[in-house]
Amino acid sequence: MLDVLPQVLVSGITLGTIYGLIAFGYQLTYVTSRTVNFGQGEALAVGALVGLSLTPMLGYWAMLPVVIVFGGLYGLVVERIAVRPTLDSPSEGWILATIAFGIVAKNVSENIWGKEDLPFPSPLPPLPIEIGGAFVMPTELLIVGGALLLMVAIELFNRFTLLGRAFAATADEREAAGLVGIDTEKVISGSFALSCATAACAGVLVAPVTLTGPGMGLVLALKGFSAAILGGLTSGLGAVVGGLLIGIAEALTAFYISTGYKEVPGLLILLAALTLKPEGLFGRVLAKKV
Amino acid sequence: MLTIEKLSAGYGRADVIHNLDMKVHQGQLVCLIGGNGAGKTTTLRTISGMLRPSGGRVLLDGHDLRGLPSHRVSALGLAHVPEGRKLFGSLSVMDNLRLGAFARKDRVRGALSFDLDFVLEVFPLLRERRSQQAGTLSGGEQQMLAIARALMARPQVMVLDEPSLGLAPKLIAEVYAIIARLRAEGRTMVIVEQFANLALAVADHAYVMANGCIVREGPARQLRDDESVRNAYLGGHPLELA
Repeated sequence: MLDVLPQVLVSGITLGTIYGLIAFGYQLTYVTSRTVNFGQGEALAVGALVGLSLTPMLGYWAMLPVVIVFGGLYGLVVERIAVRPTLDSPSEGWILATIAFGIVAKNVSENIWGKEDLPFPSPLPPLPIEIGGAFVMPTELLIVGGALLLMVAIELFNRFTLLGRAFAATADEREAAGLVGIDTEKVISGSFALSCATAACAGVLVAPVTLTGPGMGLVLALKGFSAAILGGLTSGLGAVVGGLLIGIAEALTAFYISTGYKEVPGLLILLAALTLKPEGLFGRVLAKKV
Repeated sequence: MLTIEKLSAGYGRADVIHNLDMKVHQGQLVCLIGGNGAGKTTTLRTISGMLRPSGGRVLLDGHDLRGLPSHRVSALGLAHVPEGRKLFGSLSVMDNLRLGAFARKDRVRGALSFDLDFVLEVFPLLRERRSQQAGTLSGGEQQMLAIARALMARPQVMVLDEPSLGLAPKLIAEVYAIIARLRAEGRTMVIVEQFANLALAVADHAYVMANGCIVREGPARQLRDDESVRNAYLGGHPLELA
């Protein structure tokens, strides 16, 4: 029984990294605009489907950057249509507007790719590698490695470029960011572009182990949101830790208790965290928008 | 340098400031004084594009600023040190300074490091604290950083909103000593201040606001000696500095 544990952890970490990447995407827009795209699941699915169609033409590796750019453009459209019109009014209209945008995207993609789930070929051979007593599929390594690489790249951009610091400045004090010459509307558009690019990338990464279809993102986006709340919507590191906690808790429950209960511990952890530390494990309290 | 013509603005439908006319010449330090709620902050916010005017216009070196958002106003050469500092609290002191120069077009290394050396010479404390998070600085240090951040833009006009707010008298004196130094260097500045005697002591020219209108103006020296100004508009609470 005991030697199965590493195997269970591997699948928990793989799923958890994807939840973490999705959570990371929520965090990116939350800090700059205090809004998130509740249609992230659809952005993820559309990214995966576009990737599926592009792979025969470009090959897997060349398809990846194209999908990331596509996700970025998708994010610009989401921000322009569903978020910006409601940003300067006290309404919370962006909640419904982003959900509605997701529904439209889902319907459009059902018309293009059909409602059936499609298999996504993995670029790597299905030959398991033994690491620390567990057998790891190369695809799983690609998921974890790709997700971490993307998040590290975005964090480096945020910390070490002037433009990245402008994103952080907008997150801290939007008005003052305007006063030093930062176009904060563009920064918010940019954060949506990055956010949907991470979702689209999460889609192509996870597609080989799930199936690809317009509805594939719904549950993933929910789990990602739980991960973001758990880790704190204001922290990139929190997003990853939140994702891993939920992913591992799920995998353990599915194996040792029952697959039927696998959603329960993640939600219990979330409830406990919200009760004990409402700003999330790594979050900080942000000033409310006046 | 900065001309304000018949400027009106407010929040929602009601105007808070009415028909303001002001002029700031190159190299001048102009102060805008008046009691709480007179409309001083609203005036500055309208000048720097945070608030859209409902009437009138603002000219900066001949450019009409009407309807421009604050990042465009900043790029044209106006730096605003907002009320309550509004620093980027989670960023380091250095990052705050670098972002102060965000809108500059002369982004050559030499020009930026020249200005960085200058502000670190004026505010030596900031050099010691350069990698510290801005949000962890004391109130006085934060005000220094807010002014330094604005100087990094090498602005044509710098406007300061209540630089004394929330500071102990000793720190207020330090901040005003720096303002006096910047004035001596020929910088063009507008200062909004509740403590009228502080601002009048360093300013060249002064405007007095009450209920959203300019009710008096004149050379600062003249208004300083005018008992009736103090009694009528300034609530008679001069701050004595040791």
